Amino acid sequence: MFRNIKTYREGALIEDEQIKSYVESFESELLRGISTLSALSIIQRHPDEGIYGYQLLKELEQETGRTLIIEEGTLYPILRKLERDELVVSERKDSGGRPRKYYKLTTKGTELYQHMVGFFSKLLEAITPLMDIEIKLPEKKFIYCPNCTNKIPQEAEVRFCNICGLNIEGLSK
Amino acid sequence: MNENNESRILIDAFKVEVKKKLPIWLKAKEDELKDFLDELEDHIWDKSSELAEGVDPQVMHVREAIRLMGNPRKIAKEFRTRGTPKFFVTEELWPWYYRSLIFSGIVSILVTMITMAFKLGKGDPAGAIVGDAFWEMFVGFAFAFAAITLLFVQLSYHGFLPEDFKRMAEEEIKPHAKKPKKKRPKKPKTVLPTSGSYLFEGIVGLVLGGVLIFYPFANINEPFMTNFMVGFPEWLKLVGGVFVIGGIIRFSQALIGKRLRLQQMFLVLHIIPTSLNLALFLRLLFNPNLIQVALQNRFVDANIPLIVKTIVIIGAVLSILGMFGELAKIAKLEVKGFTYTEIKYEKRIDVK
Repeated sequence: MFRNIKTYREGALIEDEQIKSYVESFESELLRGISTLSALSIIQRHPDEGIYGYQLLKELEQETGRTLIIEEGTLYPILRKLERDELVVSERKDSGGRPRKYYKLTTKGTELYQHMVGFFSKLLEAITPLMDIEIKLPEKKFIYCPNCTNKIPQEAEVRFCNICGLNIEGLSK
Repeated sequence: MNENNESRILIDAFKVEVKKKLPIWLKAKEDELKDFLDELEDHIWDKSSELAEGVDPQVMHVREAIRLMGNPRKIAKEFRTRGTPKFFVTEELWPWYYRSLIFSGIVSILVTMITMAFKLGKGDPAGAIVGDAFWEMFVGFAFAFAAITLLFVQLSYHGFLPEDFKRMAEEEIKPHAKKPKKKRPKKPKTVLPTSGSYLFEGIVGLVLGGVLIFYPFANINEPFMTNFMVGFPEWLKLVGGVFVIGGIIRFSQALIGKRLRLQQMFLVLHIIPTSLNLALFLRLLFNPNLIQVALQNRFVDANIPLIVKTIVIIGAVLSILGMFGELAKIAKLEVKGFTYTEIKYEKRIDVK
């Protein structure tokens, strides 16, 4: 994200090398997990045909108004890790005359993604009072498991949370 | 040089740079490495086409696309972020690290014991031998400590995880995979002999040792012994003492049962009587008068020196193998526990 700041005025705080390096490292740490989650969000939108890396980055840039930018080369190690952890599967297919590697979520990946999104949403909601920001979770559409924060659609006919097994029957329908 | 060639050279140079910076565990997997680098190349071409706005990408577009990929070091670094830092070795590798240290410590003790046995067998002064032994153990362990620490710091830096060792080992096995066979339930293998067999070994050691020390048949053989075998009774008593020590250790192992650390400690302790036995065997080799004169007098035509030499060498080799066997048991206990089933084989025969 920091790379978006292309210019700054002379004497600005960011000119200081120590501050610049601190901000860069802070943003990079904060973005690490968010990048993975965002990549998964884009991949889960393409359950049938899958999505290849370049297309994923394009969608990510468009969806986040170029605020969340994953450095292009670093996306692929993230995708490799997701594949190694069996959250996504990949397949080489021809597209536009070139073979490309398409990624799709696995069943395990889909389930874990819901949990990760749930956790992230609840975390954001929880820290809002600290930061003077406002976040409203779509609690009419989803139940957030009180035990593990898994995000479960309200219309889903499930009695137990598929991540932690908590009985969620009767929770705000 | 045409545009295409120049673009090709730029992309290849970028791939080489990335490859150089990648961690060893990824470089070791050739297929995955190639696939990863190809994917980076696909991305560069896609980006170049976008920058070229519909026409064939030029070198400048490729160059810009490569710049946007980011620094090869940073790309490779993403692979190195695996593992939770703990000092300079990651938390995931920590158990392997200290196990390796313990193992190298035991190996250094074992090698020192064997050296000591040879020196004792030769008849060097005991004080000097023990002093040397401690120094040799210290130097051996210090070198092993430095080498193992360096290795694990490097592996941690490269984001190596324990499952990478496993994966690499499985990849080694794959080409030799056997044809599917009918599944048969496997009986779990035990790393250590049962308590019963340790108890038996313990009793045998104590009884045999007792017999050799107290020598109840001395009155029968006494004239023969005093005439021809000067020093041999003392040698037998020493062998008996070593058997007793070994027996007590085995007996204790039978009582300890499945207490991992204690069993490992007693396995290390058992190396001591085995090395003493080795020393006593070698004593026969370096001091042939102990036994050869007596036997030569009884079996005049036999080549007694050769027979004794052969027996001693076989005994020494078996003792050394026994010591390494104890070492292997300690390592297996650490890795597999007391029992294990050949899971890998079971998994492999499932593949259609």
